Amino acid sequence: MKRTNRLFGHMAGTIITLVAVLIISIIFLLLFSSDKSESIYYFFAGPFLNSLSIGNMLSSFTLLVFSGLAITVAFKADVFNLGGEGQIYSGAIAATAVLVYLPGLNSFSGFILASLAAAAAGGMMAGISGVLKNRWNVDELISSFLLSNAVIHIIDYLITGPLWDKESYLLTTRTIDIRFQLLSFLRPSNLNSSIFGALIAVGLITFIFFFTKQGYELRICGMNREFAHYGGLNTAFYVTAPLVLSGALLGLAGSSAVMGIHHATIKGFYSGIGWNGIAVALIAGTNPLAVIPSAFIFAYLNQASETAMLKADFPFELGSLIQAIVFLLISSKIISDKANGIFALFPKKKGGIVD
Amino acid sequence: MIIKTKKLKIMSSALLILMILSIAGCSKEEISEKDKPFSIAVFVPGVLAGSPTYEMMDQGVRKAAVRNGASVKTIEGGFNQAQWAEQVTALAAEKSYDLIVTSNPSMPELCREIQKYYPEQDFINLEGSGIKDDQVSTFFFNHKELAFLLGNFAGFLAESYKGDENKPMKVGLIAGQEYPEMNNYIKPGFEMGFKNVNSDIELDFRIIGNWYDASKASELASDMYANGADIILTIAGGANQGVLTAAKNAQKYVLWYDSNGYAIEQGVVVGSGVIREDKAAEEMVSKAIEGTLKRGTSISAGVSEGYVDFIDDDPNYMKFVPITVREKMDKLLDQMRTGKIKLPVDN
Repeated sequence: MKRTNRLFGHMAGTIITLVAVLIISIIFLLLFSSDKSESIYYFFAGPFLNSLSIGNMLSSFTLLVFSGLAITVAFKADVFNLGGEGQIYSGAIAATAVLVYLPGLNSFSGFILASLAAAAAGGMMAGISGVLKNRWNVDELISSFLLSNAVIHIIDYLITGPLWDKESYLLTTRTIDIRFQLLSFLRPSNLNSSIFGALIAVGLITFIFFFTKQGYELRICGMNREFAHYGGLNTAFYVTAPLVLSGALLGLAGSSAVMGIHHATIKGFYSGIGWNGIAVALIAGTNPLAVIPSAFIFAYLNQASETAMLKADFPFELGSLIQAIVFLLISSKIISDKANGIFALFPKKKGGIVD
Repeated sequence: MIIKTKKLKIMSSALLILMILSIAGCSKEEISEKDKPFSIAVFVPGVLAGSPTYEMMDQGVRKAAVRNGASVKTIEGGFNQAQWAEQVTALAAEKSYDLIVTSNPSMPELCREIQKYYPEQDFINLEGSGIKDDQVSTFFFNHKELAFLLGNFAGFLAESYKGDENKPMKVGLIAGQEYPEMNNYIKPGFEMGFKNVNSDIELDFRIIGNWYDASKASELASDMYANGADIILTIAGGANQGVLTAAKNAQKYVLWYDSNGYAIEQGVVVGSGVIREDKAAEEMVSKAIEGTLKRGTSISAGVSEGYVDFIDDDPNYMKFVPITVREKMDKLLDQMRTGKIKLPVDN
């Protein structure tokens, strides 16, 4: 009984948040757009109007599933990973380096090696935060964020320096060979076969969580680490392992963007994938399967503001502003949900999570 | 608690229904093909505010549109380069723009790719070079001539400020990043310019690595001034501000590149080039509206054609630059504007 109540409470909260987001978006559109009915029409219907926007929406859905799932894994174990952007970026640059500079790869070995390199790069980055937490009790929330920011600068340097494609006017690495590029659908949209990879990842994580011993232990640690400790579980392991897994998934988001969309690492491409992954995970509420609808809602909002911007008079900054509001509303909702656990900024709510 | 959630549920469903109604209320009217005016999209790979060249392009397109009764919509692509291709593709996919105008050397490549899927779409790229059998129209500004002019000016100034000590004369060049235009035209043209004045002058060339880091630009510029450069040509977008700060602190000078920069810091910016994107945009777009622009037109124009120039009629130029330098500059400008000196570029 309690369980269904909780689930329902979460859903109701999410729906309220999303409705609030939509209302705010409409208010913004009405305030700032010269052709109001047109921009509202495009905001809501735009993403479905042609195969290009559907493809682009599904492509950003793919990336958001990866990043949202990654953050969900961390949340499930009650650890934080705020280093999404840096981990995506390192995954991308690792995959690019493998595909551009390792000779003698065919399309299959290239795909496998690049994916492994990306997962290893992202996983290692996040894993460092886990080790720091276990060793010196450094808050992983801070360390993952700071590490990521530092790494972003190093990768920026690599892209604009040693790995830069001198033939290109963009700040980008060299392009990977056509044999490494994933299958594209609905061309010329960005949609590619990594969407299946993202869905498989959701399946795998769900399986690990709910059908393996390790998944069970991870969930116990996430619910109550002290209880898990006294129950004889290796709680230190369940700080590092979920972070590594989370980082690896973010690394894969990076490699899928490289092999599927940009075919190179373009400077700053990660923008909007890392942080939105957190919002996706917050809506999903630590349920890996819920990442799918949640990522879809986010991809839809992205594409909606994009089409509204292109088709109606909708200023560029406003698109980002709406996304920022989404983020704010969703994270503040979660703050009140998890107040007793994480931030303790707000007094405990009635009907809060009872674990 | 149950009652509370029930209330919430009712509230949220009511809101949802309201929303769906409001969406259903807005339907789009189609304008018949015949009455439709020529419609132009201007794609800015960046943002307009604070970018004089993009602003000039936008103004030029709008002038042409107003004169010919066309409609213009300007879309800002933002600074994430990874998204530009997707955004321009979306514009082309609408199939409602007769012409897409953009400006940036990286855009022709993207436009050609997009045209494969939307062969009907016409593009004009300012700041781009054409290729063989091009289907995208391009306008190339002769950066070599502009850099040559600025190089000569830097050389004249360096000579006039030279003390009697025997230190080597240096002029500086700061770039946001290396890119083909910089490496093939601007840097060689600039070097050719000051070597034309005095072959002993050396170039101090530095790269910031991006177009916004003003504090790094300031550090680099300070170092260059300390190492003997008296004047720096800065081509670094938002980071130019850092070069200005360093110049002010060191009481040295700055050359501006693509739009009138004298007023930005009086007495510090002592020379400025200009790239007339507005003129090029207006002319090309007018032709396109009239239907006289051949697809894949590739124009390359420099000082004698009047599309790039050194600004020598600004009051600040008269006020802060010594007459001897200005006289030498007048002579050179005359030769370049009349086409006696030309530096063709093969693009």
